[in-house]
Amino acid sequence: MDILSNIPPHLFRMIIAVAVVLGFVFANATVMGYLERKLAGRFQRRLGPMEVGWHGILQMPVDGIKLIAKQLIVPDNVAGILFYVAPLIAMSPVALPFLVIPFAPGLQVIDLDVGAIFVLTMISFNTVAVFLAGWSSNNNYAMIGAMRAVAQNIAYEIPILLSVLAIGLMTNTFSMKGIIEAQKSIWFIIVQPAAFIMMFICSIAETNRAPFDLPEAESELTAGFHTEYSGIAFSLFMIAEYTYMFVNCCLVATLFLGGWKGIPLPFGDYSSCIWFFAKVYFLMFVIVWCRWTFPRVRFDQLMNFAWKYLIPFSLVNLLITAILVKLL
Amino acid sequence: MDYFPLLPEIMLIAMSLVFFAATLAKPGQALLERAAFVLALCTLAATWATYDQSGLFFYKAYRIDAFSQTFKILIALGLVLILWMGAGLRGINSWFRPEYYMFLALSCLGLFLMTSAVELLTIVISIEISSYALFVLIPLRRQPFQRDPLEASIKYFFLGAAATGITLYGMSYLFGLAHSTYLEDISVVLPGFLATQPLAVIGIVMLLCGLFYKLALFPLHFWMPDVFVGAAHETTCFVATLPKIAAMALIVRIVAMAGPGSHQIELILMIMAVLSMFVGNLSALGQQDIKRLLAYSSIAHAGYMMVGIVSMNQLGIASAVYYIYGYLLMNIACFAVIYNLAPQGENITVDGLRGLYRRSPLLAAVLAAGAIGLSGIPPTIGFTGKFMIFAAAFQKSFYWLVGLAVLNVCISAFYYLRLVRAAYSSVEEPGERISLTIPAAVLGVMIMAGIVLAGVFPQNFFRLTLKAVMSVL
Amino acid sequence: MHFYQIIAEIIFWLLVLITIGGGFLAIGARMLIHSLMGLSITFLGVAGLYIYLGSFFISLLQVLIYGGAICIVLVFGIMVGYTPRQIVETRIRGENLLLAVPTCGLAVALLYFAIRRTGWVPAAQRLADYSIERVGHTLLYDFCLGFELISLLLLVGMIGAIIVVNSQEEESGGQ
Repeated sequence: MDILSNIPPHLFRMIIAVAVVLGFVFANATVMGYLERKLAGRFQRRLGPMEVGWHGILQMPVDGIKLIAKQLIVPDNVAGILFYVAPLIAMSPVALPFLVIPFAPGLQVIDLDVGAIFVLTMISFNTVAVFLAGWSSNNNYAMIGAMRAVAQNIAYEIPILLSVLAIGLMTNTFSMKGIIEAQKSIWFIIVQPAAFIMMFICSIAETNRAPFDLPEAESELTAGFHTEYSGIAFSLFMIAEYTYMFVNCCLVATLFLGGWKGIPLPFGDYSSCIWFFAKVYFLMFVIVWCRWTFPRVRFDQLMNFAWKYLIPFSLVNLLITAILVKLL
Repeated sequence: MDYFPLLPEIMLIAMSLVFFAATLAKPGQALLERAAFVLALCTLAATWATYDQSGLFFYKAYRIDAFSQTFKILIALGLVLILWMGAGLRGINSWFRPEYYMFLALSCLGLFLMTSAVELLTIVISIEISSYALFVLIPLRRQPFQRDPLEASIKYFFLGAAATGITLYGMSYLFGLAHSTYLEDISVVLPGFLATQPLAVIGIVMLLCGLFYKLALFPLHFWMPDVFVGAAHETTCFVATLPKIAAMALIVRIVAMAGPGSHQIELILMIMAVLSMFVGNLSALGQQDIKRLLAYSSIAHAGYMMVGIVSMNQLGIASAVYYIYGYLLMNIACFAVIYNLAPQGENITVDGLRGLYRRSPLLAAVLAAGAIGLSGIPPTIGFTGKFMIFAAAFQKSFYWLVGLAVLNVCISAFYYLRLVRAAYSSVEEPGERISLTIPAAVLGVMIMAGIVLAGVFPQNFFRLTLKAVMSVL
Repeated sequence: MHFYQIIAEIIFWLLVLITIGGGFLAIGARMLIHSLMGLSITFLGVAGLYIYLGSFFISLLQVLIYGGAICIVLVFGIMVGYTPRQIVETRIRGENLLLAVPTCGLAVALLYFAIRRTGWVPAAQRLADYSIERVGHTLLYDFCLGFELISLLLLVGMIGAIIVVNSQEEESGGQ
């Protein structure tokens, strides 16, 4: 009891927060996995998973247990420690962006003055993990997938930053809360439609989702960078992917869709939280929708799109924003 | 704010922009050459026009005064002469000529910035701009010599990166002590620190390392022979002269900031100067390739210049500036000979000079003027410059330093005179005559005249340099 | 309060350890790729130290640019060059080691004693003045010349890289 009384209560709160966030990360992956398979089915005019539970609702937990229980197969000649570290690097930074995401006016851990950049920084870790996974697998498909992922992520990170910068010019802050407050009268999706579209496209590309899922294009590369991963290692990559998707959508919702703001609902303080999640999951739904609607682009198209269209356009957008901010 | 004093920099930026446009259009060589020459002349004119200007710019990070403008005149003059000497760019890959001019202009811009920058970060960045442009210039040699230049460039690059790292590290110490990156603020507190804190000495010396690298002073000299041999003659002439001028400007600024009272820095600089002279001169003795020989001689000359700076009095620094002007002329003389001797841009050995006076009396005379000047034999600028530098060191009673320097001058006479002897030795088959173009001949005569006249009548030029030095000391 | 100080201290030394350990890994690793991982670990450690200096923004940019972009570009170079099976052994050994270790040791010792003998004057305390606004003001007012020149430097670097690469291609095409 003495020891416990010496430890300040903040520490307990921190531990609880970490536990909650990690729980949420796994829950989100489960929900999204289910949603994706179900929606994919619907978009293709079939039912999707139906067997396990009511409308297949228990499919993902069962799959999760299966993946955890499976043997971890390690091929010969993988690059030792890096092969094991890669999924951990993919997984470990995903919880950090939750520090600054404003779920509701009172539900944000810290309001950093560089919140938006913090989120982007944490997302950029994913590239390292993907590259390490692909390189250490000693597999040509994985290698090509990793190279594609690196090239793609570097290219698409630039327009994201430039779009965020355009917002920063208007709000004069990168604090997530400050950006939401700045959208009191009007959402930025109306003021900055070009930035919104570019940022949304780039977030899809950043999370390696179709139609930009070249790093894991199954028709060309088996499974891309995680070809050689099985069991829990594979599922760590999947969980990370879904979490990055969630984080990206949070960022887009905060920057352009007014975050927690919305028509008042009869749930008191919870209504803003509900609005936030509604917006985020709507964006995630759109991402899934895109995945099953658009065909995959070719790699040169992907690169041309980033370097020849998105980056120049986002620069022009930034310039126009700067001029308008200066004039108005 | 009045931007007129920045005219030279603006001219160089305009020049690089013109050639940037030219990289897309790829115009003919004659047009390019004329444009480059005219723009360089304009830059020289701009430096003359702004000579009397002074002021602080960009939130006190950039200082225009007589000192910086004197160095800018020297650099612009060097650029004009090098463009004149390298007419036709015979040694440069014909695909990249517009780019070549562009990077020459950018490198010069970096050097201009170095002479005026009075803030540590600006100093580093301007050093880097001038170096990066050179890293690109060196590999642009003609086809048959493609591998050597790349190797040279990479060596130059790696040593440059290391030197910059050391410089930044030293700067971090200075910043930690003085809490400012502005030389003006640092100079207020630095003399006190130098007397009490050993770290200040280390910091200053590390800071100077990046400049020693550009000057090719002893511990950071070993890129020089490879770069000289690897790069095309035009590029080599540029690398050999102009970065040294700018580096000297900065070294003088920083040493002046440290105050003349610091004996440790004096001692360290002296040791470097002496070692640099010995290493350069002794290594040059056995060289066959003229460019390699000139490279080692260049290291030795960095040592002579340091002797002038170490004196830390007006006479010493003014004569060092005077000497570097002479060094510029003498090196251009030597490189003009090499350039005209090698129609394909190949390297020349000392034996290749044999019978030069039969093939082209003018070139032989120019080479003789350059070599005699470098070795310090009267009545050339090399003699006057060395004499004044040693006199300044003598005033400060650095007798042993002067003694070693004179010993080195004697050593160096061996290999410089070897060049002259080779050029004037008679052989049965001297080879065909070399027909010089009229501009090249005019340049040769002018440089010869400059080497002798500036040596015999140093007063006017010396007054200029003295005025420049007075604005920093 | 004491408890937090202990934690902060522990984390600080952990970051120092990470930074130095990463440096050793970068130098000593047998595989090029491990060296690179060491380098990125060092970058992360330095990013952590920036937080202790009170600049969260710089720390984030350190991670974003050095950890996220520069390392990745280096990695790209290695990835194109080698596969895991054909790694060149890069190890300092023999006479090099004999020269390198005493030299570095001497340099470190010299610097250590110099630093210990120096009377450092602490900088004036700045209260919560590490904000992004402050960084922007510093860059665009006090250091505007350096800031603008960096763009020139990057331009020189970019065009230069393209030209150097092309000059080599020209050669292979010509022969």
